[in-house]
Amino acid sequence: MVEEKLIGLGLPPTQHQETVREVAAHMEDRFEQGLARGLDDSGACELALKEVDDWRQLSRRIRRSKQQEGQVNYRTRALWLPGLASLTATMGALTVITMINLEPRIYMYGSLAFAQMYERLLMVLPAAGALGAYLSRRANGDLKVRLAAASFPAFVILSLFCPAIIVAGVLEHHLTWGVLPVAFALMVFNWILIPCACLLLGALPFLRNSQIREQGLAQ
Amino acid sequence: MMVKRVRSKIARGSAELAILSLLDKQPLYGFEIAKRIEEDSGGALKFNLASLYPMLYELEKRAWIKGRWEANRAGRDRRYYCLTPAGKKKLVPLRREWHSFFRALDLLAGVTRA
Repeated sequence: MVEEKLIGLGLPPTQHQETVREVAAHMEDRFEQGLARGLDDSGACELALKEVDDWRQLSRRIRRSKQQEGQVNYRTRALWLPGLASLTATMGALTVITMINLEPRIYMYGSLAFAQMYERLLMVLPAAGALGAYLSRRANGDLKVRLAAASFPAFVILSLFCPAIIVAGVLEHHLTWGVLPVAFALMVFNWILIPCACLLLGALPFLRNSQIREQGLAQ
Repeated sequence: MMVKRVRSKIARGSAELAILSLLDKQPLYGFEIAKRIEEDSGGALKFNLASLYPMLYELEKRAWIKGRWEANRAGRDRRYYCLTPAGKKKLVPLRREWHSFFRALDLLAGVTRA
């Protein structure tokens, strides 16, 4: 019950679990105190529930008191900043590659160009993904958050390319409606799926918690 | 508004002093802290879960207290809080401030003679 009530704590997973455990223990003690005073189960339960009038307000107050003053919150530390670092590394690499004029390689399937990609960029992407996942792990990001931070550049490119392909392709008459789905699929494959796989490849070593950190928590 | 803010600051300050003074004697977990404050103050001061834990976490954030999980007498894991050296150091001026505050109130309103 406490877990459900404190769902909006917005704390890192370990801190969240610890807080839920502590609050639940307090309510358990109050419940047992009620039983010891001669109340029946429902009376003792009511006594325990009276401890908190407004769970949402409690969540807010706990979040405020746990967050470090002047520091950014968990989501910013574990997702947005690592994601931004990964994106900066990706865009930096892409800029350098285009500046030194390396042409993309085009792969053909019959008469259809099915993949147009900067191989050198793909070689750099695992490092960008690793950077995102590493920074997210340092900020106690859980598995999903680390994966999201590592693959962040792919999502940004997707959000930029979707409107861009519609504008460039249809509104400026470079593509017809018939070709658009094929162009979109190729773009997603070349610029989203393959780069995303490369980014996640680099993130792999950082998906497990570091042994030093686990030892620290155990102590 | 001003009165409300002052009252809230007094309540907050007195709660800090109560918790730090209790933990200066021995490590306690949240429920025990609330129980002891209520018992030792003759029921005048009361903490419920919603008022206690944000305060404990705030004090922990300032590194005045430190919590660690330990089994209580019943063998259940509870988070015991103890005073840190920084907390012990803070307790001295805090006690002095409250002492002067009550002395000033006494001079103004004759609280102890009432």
